[in-house]
Formats: sequence, structure tokens, C-alpha cells
Amino acid sequence: MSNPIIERIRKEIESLDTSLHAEEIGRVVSVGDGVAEIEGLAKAQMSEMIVFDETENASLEDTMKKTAPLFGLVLNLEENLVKIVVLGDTNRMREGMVARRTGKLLNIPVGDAIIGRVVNPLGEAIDGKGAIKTDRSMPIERIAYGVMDRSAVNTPIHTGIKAIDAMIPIGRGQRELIIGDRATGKTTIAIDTILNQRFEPEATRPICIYVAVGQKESKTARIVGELEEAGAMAYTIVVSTSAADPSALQFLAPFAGAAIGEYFMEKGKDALIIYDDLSKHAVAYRQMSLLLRRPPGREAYPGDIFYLHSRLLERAAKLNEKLGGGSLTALPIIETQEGDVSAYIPTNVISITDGQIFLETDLFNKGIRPALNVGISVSRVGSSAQTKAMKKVAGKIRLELAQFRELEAFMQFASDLDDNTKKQIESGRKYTELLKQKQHQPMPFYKQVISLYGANNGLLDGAKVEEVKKIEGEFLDFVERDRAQIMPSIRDTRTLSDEVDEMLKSAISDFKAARPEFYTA
Amino acid sequence: MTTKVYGEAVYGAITNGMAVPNALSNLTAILEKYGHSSLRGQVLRDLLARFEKDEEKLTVTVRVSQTQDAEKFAKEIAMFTDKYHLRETAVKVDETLIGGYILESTEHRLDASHKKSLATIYQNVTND
Repeated sequence: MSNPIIERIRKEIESLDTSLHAEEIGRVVSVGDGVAEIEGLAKAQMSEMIVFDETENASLEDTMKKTAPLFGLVLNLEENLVKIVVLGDTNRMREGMVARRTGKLLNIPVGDAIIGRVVNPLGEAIDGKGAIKTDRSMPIERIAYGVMDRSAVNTPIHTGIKAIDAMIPIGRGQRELIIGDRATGKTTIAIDTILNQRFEPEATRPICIYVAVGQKESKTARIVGELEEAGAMAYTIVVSTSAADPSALQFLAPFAGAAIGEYFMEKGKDALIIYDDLSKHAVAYRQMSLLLRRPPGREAYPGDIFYLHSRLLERAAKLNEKLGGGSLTALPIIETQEGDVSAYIPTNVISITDGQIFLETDLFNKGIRPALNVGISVSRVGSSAQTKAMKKVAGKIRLELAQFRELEAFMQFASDLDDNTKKQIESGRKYTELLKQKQHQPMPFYKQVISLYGANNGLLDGAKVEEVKKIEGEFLDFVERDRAQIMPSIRDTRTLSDEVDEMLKSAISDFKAARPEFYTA
Repeated sequence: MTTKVYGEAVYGAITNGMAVPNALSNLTAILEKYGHSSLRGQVLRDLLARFEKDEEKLTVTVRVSQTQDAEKFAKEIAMFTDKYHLRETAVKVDETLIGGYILESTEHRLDASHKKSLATIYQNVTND
């Protein structure tokens, strides 16, 4: 009779690698604020992973208890010393401790098994669902793909937010910044974008990666809960570092997320990565740099803070067909102070990205949510990726809103205005109302097209502004129920054919005739 | 800071072949010239520490679980010493090793202890 446990141990003993290799070591000279100075390690490389040996003089029992090794990352090579940031609890360290070279640059284990999991920047599961079995690892730091490896952005990534998909379209492989003050709905836009991907066909659905940098753990837990509830964790990975984590881990989190995204991109898939947020990332890097005694520059940020973000965001790409045609779309988030977009980090990231989505506190407080300032929000490459159907309906809305913004200042003199101006203001207010969306209720693009088509073609004429959202909802239900072929046609062909155009026009007139109570203004 | 600078300078001169008595008399003269005579003791201590560190670099520390094991592994110790051009040998008893040995210089370590093997087996068995 054989005991499986004994059998297992016997096999392990038989297969144990007993070959001996001399390890290159150094000893900890000092530790403080997450930075360790090591004497020795003469051949250590930049960004190399170092393992601290906690088992010296420890009994076998204590050694076996230490299951999670303590890692460090080489960031400064000096004449007699190596400076290392500790990727874990520095309380576990002591003077004279042995630090061992691993010979590996910092990398993260990746694989399909990571989908649906919450991990830390080292790829270790932190969701209590057990270890993640992966077969590959990707370097956390690497040079982005070159010009010849890329192709033009040509496929849209739908956020499910009408204002964005219509006027600030984002393409797969693009970098679009979400910027605004605190509590203006930046994270909500990012999460809605993830939620909206469930409407995409499974074959083309992007793998979403949400990177929480220095966020409150309660916020990350809430987001994971919301994603799980909506079934979005089936295609999402969360890389989480909390405000309580060492600055080194916060610094690594976006790069770890990018490495995971690149894994899927290289497999020919599309990936979407959200960096929430790069302001906190810059602060973590500043802290780390000052502790490493690197010279401070403007606002005490180190001189390479621009390079830090540019090399990170440059990893977003649309690969050419030869390389599989995958893509990595980046939505970095920046938090501004009092709407100051001319501060150091916001201007840096604005200049790196391919467009910005500006969110404003005033709009948010007025109840315009998403609080998007469409006047100064832009997308530099996304329009070439917009679907034909959306392009057809989005042109007019942009013009209407631009005119509305010009006339907005005169709204308080409404009684003195001529009829034409009044009409334009009314129309602008209706469009503004139409673009409002509740959080976590993204709309699939074909519904957006129908909704905007309706607004452009008289659906809202004669209706009160307060009724706009109600009319929109009822009209979409009406089309889905009574004109069942319209939505599948737009969804599948991504165009607005003449036939569908006619059907929509007749749907609008039929709806208006069927629901006269909405048109009493 | 000044002490370390003087220490490094004298250390450099000696390791470059200058006779020790000459280097020390020159140091005294220089310290007097710049009004730093009071630092002489500190500079000499710094110098001593540097030579001690050099000595450490040439020493292989053999850690075994019991004293008599050091002789058992004489061949392995000799190979390690030759490979890294070490001269001295210091034996330390570390009962936590259970068996086997660890050879250690300031920059290299060869761990052939039973503790390491047993911990590896334990981790392999429990990780899957």
C-alpha cells in the first residue's frame, strides 16, 4: 500500500537538483525608507532582481515558514555600493543580511490564467483565489515597439459613453488621457469602458487591465466588486497597489500592467489598459528618487519623470499584421488640482498622449455627467478608427454643441433673444441632456448611433428638455421591439445603409405619432 | 569626510607599491601642513579598516554543522578557494545547517547545506 504523500516526497527527493552553483552575494549595509544599500554585488545590473536571504542562522522550521521571498530591485549602481529598492516589507530586513543576485531583470509571470485575477506588481495573486499557474514571464521594463512594427490605428474601442464615442473616438492602440480634478468621474469613465466591452463579440473583445496605483484598497475592492457583478472580470485583470504599499511597488504597477498587456498584444489580441492614476505614480517615483538621492528638479520630481511616463505610454501600440495585429490601448488618468492643467505632470502626460478627455468640476456639479468638456477634449487619431455609422451621426452633434457653447453666455437674456438663437440654445440643451449618462450604464455603439440619429432627425423636436432621456429610452425600446432588424444591421455592418436610414426615419415618425404626450412643448 | 579622503589616499599609495613607513611619514607631514594633525588617529583607524576589509575579501568562511565536518569537505573548500583566489580559511559552526556546508567569501557563496535541500523539497511539495 503506498501513501500518495510519501510517494510525492520520494519523487521530489529523487528529482532534486543537487548540482552546485556559486551565487554572487552582497551584504546589506543600511536600510531606510524602503531603500537598502548593499556592499558587494559587483556585477549587478540595472533593474535586476535581488533576493534577500532571510534564512541565515534560521532553523529549518523557520526557513520552511518563509514561503514568500523578499525581493529588491537594483536602481542605483555606485562605485562601492548598489542601491536597491525593497519590494516588500522592510521590517523583514536587517543589517548584514545576505542579498543574492538572480541574474534576471524584473519580470512578471503572465498567461491566460491571469485573466479574472487581482495581482500585485510582482504578479502574485492577492485575491485569495490561490496561486496563478503561468508558463511565461514578461520583462516589466522593455523598449517599446518601433515604427516599422506598428500599423495605423484603424479599429475603434467603444467606451459606451455617447459623448466620447461620438466626439472623442478612441482607436485600438491609442493613448487617450482622462484628466480632471478629484471626484469628477475619471475612474467611472475607465470602468464604464471596461464594462462596455461585454457588448463586443468574444473574438474581438479586448482584455482589460485596470492598474490601481496608490489607491485606497476600499476603492479597488469596490471596483473589483462592480466588475465581478457585471461579469466583466471574465476579461479583466486588476493590478493593485494601495497607498500603504512601498513606493517601489507603486512605481512598478503600471509597468507590470503594460507587461501583461503586451503579452496579450503579442498573441494577436487587443488589450486595454487603464493607469489609475499617473499623478500618484509620479509622486511614488519622486519619493523613490529622493530616497535614492537622485537630484530633484521641478516640483522636486527627478529629471527623468517625463521619460518615465513617455516610455510607459509608448508601449501602447497597434502592431502590424506580420506581428499578429494585436493592440494595446492605454487610458492613463491624471488628477489635477483646481483644474490646473498647466502643472508639471499634467502637461507632460498631455504632450505624450494622443488626446485628452477633460472632466470639469463645474459641469459635474451642474449635473452634466459624464462631466466632459467637449470643447477642449480631443482625440488625435481616433477619428480614423470611428465606425462609418457613428461618423455619419456624430458630425452634426459636434457642430450643434459648438454653436451652443458660443450662445451659452446669452442664455440668461433668453427673453431678449431672437427665435433662431432661442432655437439653437434649445437644441444645444437637448443634445447636452441626451449626452448625459448614468454611471456604469454604458451603451453599445449601435444604440448610440440610433439615439444620435434620432436627435439629428427630429426625434426631440417639440419635446421638453426634461423629457429627452425618457424619449431616448422609449425610442430605443420601440426600435428594438418594433423594428428588430435595425440594431443587428448596424451592429454587424457598422454602417448606416440607405435602407436602415429609411427605416429609422419611419421609426421616428411612427414613434412621434404613437407617443404624442412627449411632444407638447 | 576628511578622514575618509586621507584614508583613501594613503590606502591608494600603499596598494600602488609605496613602502608603508614612507606612506605614513608622508601622511604625517601632509596632515601637519594642512593643520589636520588631530585627524591622524582617525585616519590610521580608517586605513586599518580598509586593510581588514581586504583581508576579509581573501578569506573563505566555511560554515558547517559540526567542527569535524570542515575536514570532510577539504576538497570542496580547496576548489572554491582556488576558483576565487582566496587565501585564508575561517571555520564557523552553524548547527541550523543540519549537515553539508556553506562556503562564503565577500562576493560569492556556495550553499551545499542539508537545510537548503530540505527547504527546497518542502517548497516543491507544498507549492503545487
